Formats: sequence, structure tokens, C-alpha cells
Amino acid sequence: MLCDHQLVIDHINDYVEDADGKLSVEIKQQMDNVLKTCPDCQATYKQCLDLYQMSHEWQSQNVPEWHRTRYAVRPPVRNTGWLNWGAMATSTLAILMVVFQLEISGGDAGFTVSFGGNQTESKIAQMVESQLEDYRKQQDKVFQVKLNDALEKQDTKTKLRFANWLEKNRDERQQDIKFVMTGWQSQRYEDQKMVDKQLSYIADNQIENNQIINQLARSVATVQSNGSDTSNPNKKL
Amino acid sequence: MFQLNKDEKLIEKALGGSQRSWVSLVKRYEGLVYNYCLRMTFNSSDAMDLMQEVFLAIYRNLPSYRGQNQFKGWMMRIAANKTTDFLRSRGRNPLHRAGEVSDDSYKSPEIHQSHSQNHDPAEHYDTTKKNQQIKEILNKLSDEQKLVVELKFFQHFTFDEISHQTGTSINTVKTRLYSALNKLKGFSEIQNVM
Repeated sequence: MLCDHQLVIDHINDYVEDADGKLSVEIKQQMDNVLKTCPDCQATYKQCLDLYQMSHEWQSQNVPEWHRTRYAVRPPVRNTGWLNWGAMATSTLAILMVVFQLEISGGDAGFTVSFGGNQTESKIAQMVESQLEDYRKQQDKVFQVKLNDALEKQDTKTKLRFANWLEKNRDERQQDIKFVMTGWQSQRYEDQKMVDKQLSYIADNQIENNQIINQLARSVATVQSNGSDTSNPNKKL
Repeated sequence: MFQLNKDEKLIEKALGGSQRSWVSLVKRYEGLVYNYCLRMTFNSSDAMDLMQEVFLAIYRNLPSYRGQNQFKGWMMRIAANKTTDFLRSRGRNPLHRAGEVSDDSYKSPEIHQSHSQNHDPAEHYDTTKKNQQIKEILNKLSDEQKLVVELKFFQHFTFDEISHQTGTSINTVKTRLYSALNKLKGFSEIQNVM
């Protein structure tokens, strides 16, 4: 009878340990038959028994003293469950804040929470507006100062110019007045001269008139005296 | 069941940083692992080195232990992996004298310590001699066969568990065991005669 030993290979240990009744009756019967007919399998069975016996003959030896905790330096694990959960929650929150562009800002009216990054734009616009306003105010002040300076300078210049003009005008007037006065004085002198001449002429005429009158008077008197002498010889002219 | 629950409690405390629990856990299993390492390496020095490597690996991988009351199986799987690596690296060592079983039982202090209570020199000699014979028998096997024999006959794992621990199929495990039995045919008889 040919034996391929496969049955022994598969079940030899169960056959030896059959105290638990692992093998079915059928396989056990087949094993019995094989072990009766196959010397090799019989030797294997015997060897298996010897090994089982040998395993029980082993005298357990004590372990030499050794350092059992030399590598066991694991630090005590604290109850960090909440910490892990807290770290995970914080990480998740941070990721969500980044994803949804959550922004929290404080101001005079309290805290403001916004999503989508609108707050940044509005805040930037507000900041730009504020900066522009400040710049505008600053420029206004600069402009006002410069304007005041320019006005003062202009005023000073105007005053100086006016003063100069006034001075020049005064000189011109004085010259004109002098000219007029000179002309007037010349005219007056001429007029006076003419008046004097006329007066002289008039005086001369008066004298002549007086002489004429006197002559006339004397003539009249003479005439009258001549007439009275004939009527009133006491009356004289 | 009580023992298994105790394992789980010790592991939980060790993971929480309790060195005392870790030491208790090591003490519960160091004898088993040490004797396993002794049968696999044949000398106490290598057995100590291997045992420490095994417990170091267990310590490092303890956070990944998923319980299910199978600490011994999980531990022996690590031990099997570490043993394979250890024997492979030792095989590459040119100073290692392959095929030689060191008879250090007589000079090993732990053996004297373990049998210090037993003052009968003859009994002590029989004990160490028996262990020496077993190691010499196992030394005839290849590393893979030796591992399967160790897990099956000394640790009493099922083929399914051995398959899981060694990362091989059940049929491969059975074949290795059968070839190991064939290789040992006659040798143990000679040992018995001696």
C-alpha cells in the first residue's frame, strides 16, 4: 500500500494530542490504519511522541537578574485626552477660520465678527479714507499757512507799492502844484503888473481927468467969475 | 481568565507610565521567553540578549497592542520575529560557531541559583544534562523547523496560531513540522540510548 504521508502530515499532532477528541472517529481510524501499514509514518508518530515527551522533560531555568526597566523610561502618560481634543478642536477652528476668512475686530462699538474677508476690505477702505482725511487736513493746514504767508507777503508788497506810489504821486503833485503855483504866480505877477499898469494908467487918467476937471473947474470958475462980475460983483469963483 | 485580565490591567497601567506594572508583566513572562530563547539559541548569553531584544520590542510596540486577551500570542509573535532576525544575524557573524551547543549550564550562575535549593548534585546533573540533550536535538533542525517545533511542542500553540505568528501558511507549518520530525528520526533514539 502506497502512502503519501499526507494524512500523517495533516493530523499527526492532533492524533498524538487526541485527549481533547479533536479528531473525528473516521480520521482516527484512517490514522490507525496508516500507522499500521507505513513504517515511515510509524517512525514519524514515534518521533512526535518523543518530542512531546521531551518538551515535558525540559527543566525550566531561572532568568538571570537583569535590568528590566533600563529602556522603560516612558514618561508617565498624563490624562491628556482633553488636551488632544482641545488641540484638535483648536486646529479645526483655525482651519475653518482660514477657509471662511473669519475676522474678528474690535472697535469703539465693540467686537465685530465677519466672514468672507469683507471686513478686511471695508477696514482697508476705512483706513485709506482715514489716511486720506488726515492727509487732506494736513494739506489744508499747509495750504492755509502758505496762503496766509502769501497774503501777508502780498499785503506787504501792496502796502510798499502803495506807499511808493503815494510817495511818487505826492512828489508829482507837489511838482504839479509847484508848477501851477509858479504859473499862477507868474500869471498873478503878470496880472498884477497889468493891474498896476492899468492902475497906473487909470491914475494917469485920473490925474489927467483931475487936471482936466481942474482946468474945467477953473474955466468954469473963470467963466462964472466973469458972469458975476457983471451981476454980483462980490461973488467970486 | 483571571490571568488574562491581569495581563490586560498590567498592560494598561504600564501604558500609563507605571514601571512597576511593566516589571510585573515582564516577570510573569520572562521565564517563558528566556527558556524559549535558550532553546532557540543554545547558550545563555545569546538567550539573554535575545530575551532583552524581545522585551524591548514588546515595550516599544505595547501601545499598538489591541488586547483581546491574547497577550501571550502577540508576545510570541514578536519573539518569533526577533528570533528569526537574531539567528539570521548570528549566522552572518563569522565568529559564531555554527552547529555547536555550548554547555554553559554548569558554569551559568543562574543555573546554580535556580538549583541552589536543590542540594543534590546528581539531580542537578540530570537536569542540566536533559536540557543539554534537548538543545542538541533541536540543534539538528534548521531555524525554521526549530521555530515550528518550539511553538508547537513547547509553547503548545495551534497550527493556526503558529501560522499567524510566523507569517506562513498552515500547510507550510505542517510541512516544516513533518520534515523536522523526519530529520530527528533515529537521533532521539540514539540520545535515549546514550
